[in-house]
Amino acid sequence: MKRRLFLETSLSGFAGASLLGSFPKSDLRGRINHSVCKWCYPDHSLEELAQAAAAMGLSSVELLEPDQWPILEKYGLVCAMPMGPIIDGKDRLTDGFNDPANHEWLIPMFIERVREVAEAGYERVICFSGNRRGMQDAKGLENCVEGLKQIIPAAQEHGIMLCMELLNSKVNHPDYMCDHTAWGVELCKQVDSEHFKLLYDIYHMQVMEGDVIRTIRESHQYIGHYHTGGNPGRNEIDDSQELNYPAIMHAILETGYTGFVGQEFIPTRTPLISLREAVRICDV
Amino acid sequence: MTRREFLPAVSLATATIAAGLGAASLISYRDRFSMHYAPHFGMFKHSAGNDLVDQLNFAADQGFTAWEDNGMKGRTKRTQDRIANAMARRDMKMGVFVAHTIHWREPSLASGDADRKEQFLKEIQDSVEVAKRVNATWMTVVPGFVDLRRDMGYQTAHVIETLRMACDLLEPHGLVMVLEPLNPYNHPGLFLTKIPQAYEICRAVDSPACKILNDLYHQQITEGNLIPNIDAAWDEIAYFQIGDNPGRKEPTTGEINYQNVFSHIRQKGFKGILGMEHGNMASGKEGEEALIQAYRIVDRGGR
Repeated sequence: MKRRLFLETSLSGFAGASLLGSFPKSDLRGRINHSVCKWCYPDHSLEELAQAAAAMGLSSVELLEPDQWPILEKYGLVCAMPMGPIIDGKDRLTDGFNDPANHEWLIPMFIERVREVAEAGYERVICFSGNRRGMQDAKGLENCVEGLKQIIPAAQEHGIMLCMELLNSKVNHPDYMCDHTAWGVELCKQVDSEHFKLLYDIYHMQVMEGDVIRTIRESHQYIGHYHTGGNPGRNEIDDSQELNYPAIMHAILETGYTGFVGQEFIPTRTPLISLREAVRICDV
Repeated sequence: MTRREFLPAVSLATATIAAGLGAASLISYRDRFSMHYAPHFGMFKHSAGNDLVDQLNFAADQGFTAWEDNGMKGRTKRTQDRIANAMARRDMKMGVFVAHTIHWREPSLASGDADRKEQFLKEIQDSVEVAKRVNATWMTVVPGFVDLRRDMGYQTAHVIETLRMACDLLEPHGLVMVLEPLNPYNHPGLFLTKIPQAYEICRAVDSPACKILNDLYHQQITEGNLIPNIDAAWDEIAYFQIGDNPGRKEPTTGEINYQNVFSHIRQKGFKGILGMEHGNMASGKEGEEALIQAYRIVDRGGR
């Protein structure tokens, strides 16, 4: 048995739970609140990931549905970025606020989700613009403002922030509308509420526009959450890709950010070891 | 004292005493960098003094194997000869100099204006002589400001047409003009900003004398996605320039993971020059030492 395979098996199985104790007890600095996206670890159950994450010193597992949240509590974790609602026949990313036809279900369901998120004690919920499908960006922005503004009163009442994710439309999500920071910032200005900000995904924005640190410095007041990922490839954020993550984390801290940084890369090596490395890289 | 510390001390001492290069060349192969990173005049002036040849020798002693000088064309023939001779003695490659007057505020090549075109071609012709005198292969071309009165398609066609004529002047001499996209944050309004755009132009010009200068600092500001663009435009890229972002200082001072970007370029078999067209993060002699150390760190993948 190869060492890698052995570790993988040990870490993922309950039989190997004791091995998790072999992670060095967390000596993280605590300046960055670390989170991890569950979907990047398909071979681990949420229970396994939560257990490992807690042992590594992370404080959140994110992009989870309400029925998954209770598992986190067992390990003293939160869900820093809960999932938004969805209905059958629709796609969360491509069918979004830019199309008024979606408002009919998005608005009541988001109002309900905001309430659920608050009840669980969490503070954010993710949302998406939807695809362009031939629509002008200005029109899509107008539609988003109209839809989002109807959720803001509920978000305000419950102290929840909606975060719209910036995604790349070149590699992973062709035709997605919220694919540039400038558009997202304009949307924030027009929604004009502390309860709506952007989820700045560093990987996606490196694919689309670069200039990461300057963008963070200039637009941090409109950013409510961060995601990571190496470019090219969306894999580990170490010396296998083109961004210097510690420098970016320092820039984020310098803006006074107190939220979470969610690891959202697809591991190519032993997943939980890659996760631990990523957390250390970002723990500046 | 380790060997690494000992050798430059000796070389500086002998250079000072003998004011010659014979002794210094004894250690010219010491810890050479794995790729041709090219500093410029002024970068090491606190360590090497104001004399240009002293600065070249200092850089060679540190393991640098190339040099670039944007302002070479404006130097006297005597100075050009002196620089070229010093570089030949130290086996250093000459990088880019700026080949022509850059029009930062008004349309030039993009306008198709006959006088602008004539001026540009005349300057390229003059640059042939300079390149030969200083043993340069590459010279920098920046097509200038956009022409707001013309659609982009016409501007592109004008640029291509003029560059083709310039290639006729350069090709017989084996010289190459490298087109440099600049970022719109520092230089708003220029015609050439993106690597895909430079690639489009080079493919249309279709000459070994017209290639891309990919300045990674500019491109990180303009479009990010550095490695994918390096790969996609690889056949047309002849030259790189370096600078971290934000700040345009040496690698390790910003958001670009240069160690990996350099590894990628090295693995692709790049044998050309990477110009260090950036400032020093810290001032004085200490800043120069820190800069050299930063290059040793990011060059590790190659040694």
